[in-house]
Amino acid sequence: MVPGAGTRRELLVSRRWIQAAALVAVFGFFVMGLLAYRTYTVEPPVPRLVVGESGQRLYAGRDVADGQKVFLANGLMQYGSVLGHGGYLGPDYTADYLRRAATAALRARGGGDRAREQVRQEFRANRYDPRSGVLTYTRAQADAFTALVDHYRDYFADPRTDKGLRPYAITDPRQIHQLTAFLSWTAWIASAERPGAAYSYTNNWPAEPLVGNAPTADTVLWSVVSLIALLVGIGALFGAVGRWGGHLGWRGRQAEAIEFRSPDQVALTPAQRVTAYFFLVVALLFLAQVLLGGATEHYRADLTSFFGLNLAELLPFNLARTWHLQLSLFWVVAAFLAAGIFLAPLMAGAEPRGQGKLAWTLLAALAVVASGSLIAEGLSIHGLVRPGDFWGSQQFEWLDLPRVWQILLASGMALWAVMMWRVLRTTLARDSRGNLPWLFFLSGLAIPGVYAVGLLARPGDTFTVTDFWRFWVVHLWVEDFLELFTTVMVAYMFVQLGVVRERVALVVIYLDIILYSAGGVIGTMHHLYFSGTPVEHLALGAFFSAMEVVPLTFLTVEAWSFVQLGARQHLESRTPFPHRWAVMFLVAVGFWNFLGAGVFGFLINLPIVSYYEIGTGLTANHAHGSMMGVYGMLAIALGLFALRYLIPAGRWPEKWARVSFWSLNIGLAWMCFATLLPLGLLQLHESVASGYFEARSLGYLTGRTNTLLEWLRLPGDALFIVGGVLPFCWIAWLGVRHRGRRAATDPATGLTPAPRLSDVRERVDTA
Amino acid sequence: MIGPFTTEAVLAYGYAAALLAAAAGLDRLARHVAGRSERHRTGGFTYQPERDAWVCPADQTLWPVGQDRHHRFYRARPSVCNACPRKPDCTPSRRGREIVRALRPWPHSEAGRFHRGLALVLVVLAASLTLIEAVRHPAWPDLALAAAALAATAITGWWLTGHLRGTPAAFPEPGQGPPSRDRYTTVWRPE
Repeated sequence: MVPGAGTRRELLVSRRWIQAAALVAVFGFFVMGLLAYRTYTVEPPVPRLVVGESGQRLYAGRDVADGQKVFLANGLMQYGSVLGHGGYLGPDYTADYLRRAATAALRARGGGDRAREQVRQEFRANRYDPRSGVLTYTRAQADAFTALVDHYRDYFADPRTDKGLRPYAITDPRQIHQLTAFLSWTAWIASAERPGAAYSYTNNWPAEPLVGNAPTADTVLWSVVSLIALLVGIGALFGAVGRWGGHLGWRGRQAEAIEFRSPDQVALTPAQRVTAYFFLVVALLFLAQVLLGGATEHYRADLTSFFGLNLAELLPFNLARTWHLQLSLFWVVAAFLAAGIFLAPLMAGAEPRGQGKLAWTLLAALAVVASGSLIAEGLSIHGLVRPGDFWGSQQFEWLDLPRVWQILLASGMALWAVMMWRVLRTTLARDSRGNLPWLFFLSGLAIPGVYAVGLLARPGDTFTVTDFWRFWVVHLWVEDFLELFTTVMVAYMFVQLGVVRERVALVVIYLDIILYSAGGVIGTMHHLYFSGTPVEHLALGAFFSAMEVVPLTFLTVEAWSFVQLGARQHLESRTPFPHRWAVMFLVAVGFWNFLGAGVFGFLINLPIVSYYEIGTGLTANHAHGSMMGVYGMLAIALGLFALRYLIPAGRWPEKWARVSFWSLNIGLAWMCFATLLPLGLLQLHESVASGYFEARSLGYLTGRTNTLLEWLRLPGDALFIVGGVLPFCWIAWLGVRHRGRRAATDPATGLTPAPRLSDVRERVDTA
Repeated sequence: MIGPFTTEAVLAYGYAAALLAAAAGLDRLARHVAGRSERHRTGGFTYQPERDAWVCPADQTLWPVGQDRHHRFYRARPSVCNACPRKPDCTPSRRGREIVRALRPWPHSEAGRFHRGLALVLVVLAASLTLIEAVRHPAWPDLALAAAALAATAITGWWLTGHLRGTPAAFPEPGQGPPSRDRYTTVWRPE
């Protein structure tokens, strides 16, 4: 107990909520700990040396690590993929190597059924000797390796750009040898049987009949079990809602009647005024991101030229996609940080001295990290940086930024957490640790914390391990912790807007923690079915992420109706409601959360679907629907909320806010339904009917039907960029131009009082 | 070939039909969700259209006390509410529980128009896909499918736009100022 704890405000909800949330989170992370341990202990071995049958040296373990660095440094994970993870234009290099090697072996044996059986057995037999650390390739495998070094040399040294890669992408023979070693190793773990098991290290992924790779019994079994879990979950949920549904305590009570102050009457603190610049940066990063997205998409519609220009010389596909993904994280995170800076004083009632300067420091740091890391990635993909360089090269998909920038970004977010602490500490000292200010602060603290876990993925480590930690960021950080912080912020905004009482907001947050953690934490493993992790990752990942669907659907539908409460708030106010478009963007968040994250996500969640689908168009469909639909729309909602006070009421561009809202939503719906969804479905069909290798080939992707569907996106994309993003940039610019009205600072204490956004017209009866 | 039709035609027109189903489904779901959202405000209260009044969980009646262009306001007697043991869970007001009812319900609400708008985007998309496929392969038996898909699109489009045709937006635009009548002082006078 800290001194003065007796004066803390009481916990507004039952203590059981905290106990339940803690219990669920502890359970989830305990299992994650076990799975991390298993990942390290039974990961596929990297042989010390790989030799042919006659003893000639083919490659060493070091070559595999270096080859992975070459693969990453050249941005190949943003072009094609290995073990299903990466970009979707290029091939999956694991499947590519496997098919080519097996075909070469088959040809060497003269073809025919007997040869087929021999090749199958050769590729499935595990000739790794754990005592000596030596892996022996058969003669056919060794010959295939040598032939494929030549193949990849020609492939990557191609002077043409018609694959979307830069000309002469990799020419150094040593690097080609290392790269082929890395690909060969991934193909080996994909086909060689795990000791004591009848399937490969990757649970028989990818589907390749030549090496006898087909879905394992576990893949099918756990798909079925997850479906059953889903049904049981639905039953349990209906039971629970029937039994306790009325106790959520947010039914039917009349909201406190409040009146919104005109934005002209609201005087802002120094740090709040700095957020105008944050949101301008957010808007410009957003613009850059969608333009790069346009370029990326153009490659898929017309690979050889950009309206007559050879774009790939300067901006090859993999660089455009690297920047596109990287910027999507940057602008969303920048908006979240800015929103935190804007909301914290409202919660605390005042802002301490120096917060404005810290906000400027944070903005400068973010600008340096964003531009520095983007430049470094450009240099790396153009071959100007040594692979695996601390300063200039990392480029895991989503964790693209080189290590030093990754550390700086985590530090920037830590600085932001300190800023939150400075503002909130007196409030925190007076409040129960289970109430809204503490949840706001703790969930904010988790943002740098969980992001920093991504540092455990190093370019030279075994791919299986790097992928495990990478998804702690890609899934856990995004799905659990950003989502949690989002919920806290939206709930807090709603308390500010008088939509709900604080107690109700708290119940929503605790429900969110429990439901997301119950499935979402262990559900992270649904990305790792086929990365070389043992079968328990597949089983638990499939089971928990399927179990998650029911409460998540419930929660997204509930959240969907929860955010719509905001849209009804204007009914109660006699003064004009200033946040029309902010709450409409929240309504859009509710919609896309259900459709893009929920429906499109579950579409690809079952192991048996993922087995054929991973690395194809349906993933892109889910990614756009959830990243832009949920986090993008939310970032804009937060931006408009703050910008409403930064722009004088008379200058507020109501029309452009409306145009932006409709264009972004129509553009996104068009993108998903006109192109990404049908394209993904067709590709999934191709993958099952013809083969995974075929479905990922450029020949298939540039076929007539695909090309037509890709071009169909154009109207939606154009609307999204011109009608959606540009008006938002204009609104953000107006924010910087006016920057709101400044509140007077108390010279004695250095505190600036936080603005009041509304007045209570009818107070709550305390009697 | 699937029956007399080419596979591509069946897939394209089938997808168009699926889009229409998705549009209708999303629209229904959004309406259901809006209903849930509405119940956050009126849960436990029953509207009785024949009397134009609400009945609260304690069997008291809320009568209409006024309206503006888009909403009607209902209130219970303050004396009843202030004596009610369930008041803390019901209203913070000393002047009796109030309920606001939108006169033209979903999809005329702002959120309703958003969801209806997105459903219409899917309908437009279904029409575009149908036309593109018909122009690409204008062969006879396939065109019958195209005609069927177009007819379904037209019907869905007509149905989805039905409520919105000719109705103005319900949201008070900023700059218009507050609603013309002050419903608390002008319309409602406590006894």
